[in-house]
Amino acid sequence: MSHFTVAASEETFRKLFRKVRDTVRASASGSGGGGTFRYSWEAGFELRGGTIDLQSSNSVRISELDVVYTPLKLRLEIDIPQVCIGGFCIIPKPWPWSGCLLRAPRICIFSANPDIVVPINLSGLIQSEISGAFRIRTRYYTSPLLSSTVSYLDAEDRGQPSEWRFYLDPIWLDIDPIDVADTIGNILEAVITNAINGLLGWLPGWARDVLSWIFGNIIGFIRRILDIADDIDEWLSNLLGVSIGLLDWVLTIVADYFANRYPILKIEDPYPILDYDGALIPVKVPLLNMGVNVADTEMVLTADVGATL
Amino acid sequence: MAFTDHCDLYGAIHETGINLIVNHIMMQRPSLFNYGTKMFESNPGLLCTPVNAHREVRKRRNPIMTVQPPLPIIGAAGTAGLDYCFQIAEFRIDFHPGNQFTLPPELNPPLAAQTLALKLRVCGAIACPERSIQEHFGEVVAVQFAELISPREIVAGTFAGVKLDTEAVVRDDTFALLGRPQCFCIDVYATARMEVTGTGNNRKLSIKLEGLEIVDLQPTGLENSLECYLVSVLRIGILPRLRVALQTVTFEIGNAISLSVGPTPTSGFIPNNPAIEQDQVKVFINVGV
Repeated sequence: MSHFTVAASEETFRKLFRKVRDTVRASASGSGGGGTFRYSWEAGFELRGGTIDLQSSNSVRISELDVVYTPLKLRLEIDIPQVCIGGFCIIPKPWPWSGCLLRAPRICIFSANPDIVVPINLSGLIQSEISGAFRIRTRYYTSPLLSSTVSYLDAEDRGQPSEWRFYLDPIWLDIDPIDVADTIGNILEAVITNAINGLLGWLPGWARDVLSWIFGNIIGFIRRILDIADDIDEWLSNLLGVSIGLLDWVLTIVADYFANRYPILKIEDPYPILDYDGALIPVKVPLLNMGVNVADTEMVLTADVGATL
Repeated sequence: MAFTDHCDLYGAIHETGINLIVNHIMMQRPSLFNYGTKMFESNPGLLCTPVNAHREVRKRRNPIMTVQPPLPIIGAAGTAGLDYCFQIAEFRIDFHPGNQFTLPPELNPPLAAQTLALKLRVCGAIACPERSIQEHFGEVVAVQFAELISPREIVAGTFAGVKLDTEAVVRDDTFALLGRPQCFCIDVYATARMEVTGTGNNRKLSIKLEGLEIVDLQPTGLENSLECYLVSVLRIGILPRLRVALQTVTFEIGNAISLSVGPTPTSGFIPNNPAIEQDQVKVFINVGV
C-alpha cells in the first residue's frame, strides 16, 4: 500500500473541464494601412462543447472540443481620391464685368471618406475541432550536479535539484482546422435565423419559434451527418491508439516532441517539508515510486516516502 | 471499488509514511528533539541515547541539540545549576488496526476502531556532581549570601579566602557542577481519536485524547500524578489549539477559476470523515466549481 494516495473522480475532472472551457477565451484587434487603403480587424476565440473522459487504458480522452472563432471581423476601407468634373464657365460675363454668368454643373465622385467599405463578419461561423487522448507519464530527473562530493542539498542550493517530472504524453490527436460539419451548420443557422427574423418577421412570435425549432433540428441533423466521417476517424484513433490522417499523424509527433521536453508539473526530490531556518538545513523527504494511474472512474496519484536520504 | 465513489477527492496517508517523515525530521533537525546543557553539547557521548543526525547536519555544522541553561538548584538563588539533558528518542504513530507497537495493558489493547496510538520514548539525565563538589559549592553559596558577591568574582579569585574547586565551571552567571549523567528512559503511550463536532459550516475537527500511560514508573502515585499532569497539558493546553474548522474553503486557480473545497458529509457510505482505518488516515472531500 502506498504511503500517499490522492484520487480525483472523473466527475471532478468534468466539472473542472467545463469551468476551464467556459473561462478560456481571448481576443485581439488591430488596424493598419493609411491613405487610400485602411483595414481593421478583430479576432478571438472561445471554447465550446467537448467532453473529457477517463479511460481504463490509463489515458484521458478529450472529444470534440470546438474552438469557435469569435469575434472574427475584417473591415477593409478604400478612400479613392476625390474626382470632380464640370464646374467650368460656359458663359462668362461681358467686359467690363468679370466672373461667370453660367457654369456647367460640377459633379464630384469619391468624395466620401472612406468611399468603399467591405465589412466581413465571420464571428461564430468558422470553428475548429480538437479531439485526442493522452496519458500522464512520470519520469525521474537526476540532478547532473550530484556526485560523491556534491550532495542533494548542494544541488538544490545551486538551483538544480533532482525532480519527479510529469509529462502529458499524447497518444493520438485529431485536429480539424476547419470543422466542416459545424462551420456549415453555423452558416446555415445564421442564414435561416436571419431569414426567419427578416423575411418572415411579419409572422407572430410563436410561428417563428416553431420554424426555428424545425430548422434547428434539420441543421442539427445535417451537422451529425457531416460529422459521421470525423466521428469514425476519432473512434478508430482511440481504438488503435494512433492518429489517422497525415496531418494528425504529424501533429501527434510534433506534440509528442514538445510534450517530452516540457513537463506539466515538477516536484522537487527530496521534497522540502521545513525550509531553511537560519543556518539550519531544510528538512527534506525523499519521494519514491511516484505514479499516476487512470481508471474509468478516477485518476489516482501515489507516492512513497524513502527510508534514507 | 474506487476511492472516489462517494466523494470528489480522496486523500490518504499511511502510518509508515508518517513515521518515516518523523524519522527524517529527527535526523535533519535533531535540535528539535534533543535538549541539554553546554556540557552535553561538548560531550555528546554522554547523552542518554545517541543522536542519529544526518550527514548534512554534521557537514554544515548544524547543532544536534538545543542548548539549555543549567537546571537551577533551588535555594542557590540562580547561581548554581546542574547539567541535564532531555531527549525525545522515539516518536511513532499507529493507525487502527494497531501493529506498529504493543500498547500497555492499561490502554486496553488492541487499538479500538477509528483510533490512533502514539508512542513516545523520552530519555533524560541529570549530571549529578560528586559530594565534594556539592559541599564546596555549598560553601560558596554560604559566602555569597553573606557577602553578596557574584559568582564570577569567586571564580576569578577576587574574593579572598574561598577557593573554588576546579571541577566547577562557570557559564554566564550560573555555575554548572560537573557530574556523571544518571540516565533514564520512559515510554509514554497515548491513544486518541478524531472527533467532529458541530453542524454544517460550523463543524470542527478535534483530536480527543482517550488514554495516556507512562510505563513502569514507580511509585504508582508518582506515575499517576505525572500522567495526570501530561493529560491535563494535552487536554487543556495543546489539543484545543489543534482544532480545525471543517468549512468549505474557496480558492482561486489562476484569475478566473474558483474552487470550493469542503469535507464530504458523513453518510452510510462514508461513516467517518476523516477516517482512521487500514493503517491510514483518510479524508473525503467534495469540490464545487
